[in-house]
Amino acid sequence: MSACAQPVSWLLLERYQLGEVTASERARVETHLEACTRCRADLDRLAADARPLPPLPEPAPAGAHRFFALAAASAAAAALVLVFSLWAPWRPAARAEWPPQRIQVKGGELAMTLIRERSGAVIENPASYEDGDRFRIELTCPPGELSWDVVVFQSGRAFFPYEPAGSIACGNRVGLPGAFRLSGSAPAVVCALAAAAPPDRAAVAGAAPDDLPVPAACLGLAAER
Amino acid sequence: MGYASRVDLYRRYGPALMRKCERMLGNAHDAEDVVQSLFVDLLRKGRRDVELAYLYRAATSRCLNLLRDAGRRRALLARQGEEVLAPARERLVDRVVSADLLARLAERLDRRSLEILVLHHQDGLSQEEVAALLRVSRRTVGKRLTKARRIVEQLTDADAGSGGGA
Repeated sequence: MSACAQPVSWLLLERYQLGEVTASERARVETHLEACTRCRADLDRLAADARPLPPLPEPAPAGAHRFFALAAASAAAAALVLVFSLWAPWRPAARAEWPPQRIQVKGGELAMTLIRERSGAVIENPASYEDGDRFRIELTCPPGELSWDVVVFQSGRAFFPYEPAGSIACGNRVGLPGAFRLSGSAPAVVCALAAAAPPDRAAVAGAAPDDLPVPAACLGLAAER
Repeated sequence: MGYASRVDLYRRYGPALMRKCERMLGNAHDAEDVVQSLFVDLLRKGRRDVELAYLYRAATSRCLNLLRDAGRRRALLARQGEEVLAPARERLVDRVVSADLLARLAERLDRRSLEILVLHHQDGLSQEEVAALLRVSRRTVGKRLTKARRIVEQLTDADAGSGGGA
């Protein structure tokens, strides 16, 4: 194998393969490849890699403000949907941010990190789930003792995976005890609730995920199959 | 830009980013998760002014998030051993810049230095190219790489002392 003291970077090889190089970059790569079997072999490997890409979820339609409207518009909807509420008092104006453009975590506010575990792989705030995935939740909330609960909206129903819910000393990414699993093949919305008093489950179950009667952070998940 | 054309962006750049993330994380499953979430965010933001260099940097950042979190790192390392398509070509202090080494460095090295190390020693960008991509000076890149090298040397010495190695 020829010496390759200065291999062409992976980035440049990828851009070369995509035809996105300038004329001078092309000349530089091709001159190098003529003399370097290693980089030629690397380029051949890139070109031969025909792996299928996992499907990309279609984003929610602009202007839709309710999760179930989104789900009806597209059963495969998988855009990350985070309802982000200001800490106190609950401000209906926050719903105008539905779906928010990004996860926001600031002092004095409530935020959730939803952690999906699947076959040893862990990902934060995933866009989707598959039947049997295990989830943990970490909450970020203002210092103080708060009651928490978790509700999952799925197929028009609400269920509460933690029995019982509890209270936590708030802080930065405080983990709720234990974990739960999601099952089924319908889109789901997971919401973490936190309030000074234990949330009223009947009132929560009767509300829409973007209009909960207590401070909440929610994440929409598409079903993968 | 419509949804279809944005998906074209994913089809065009997704495989390159998958390979890049596999090199960093050591397995295809986590690489898929990172790349998919990156594009979901791009689609939601309606970004269209992206090119591969920008996406390389964004993917590096997301992979580092995984590697820097102790709990996630443990699960990720448990998945090591699957062959990746494009193995690391670069070595640092005679060690392959693998997910295992990056995970160990994540405990000892600041984020910017890790980012520079990955772009230079794993993706193979020259120091000048790294400096241009991150919009820092070439001197900054050099200093950060020197710092990284020093820590890798310490790890190597520690491994030699304990009879381990990479």
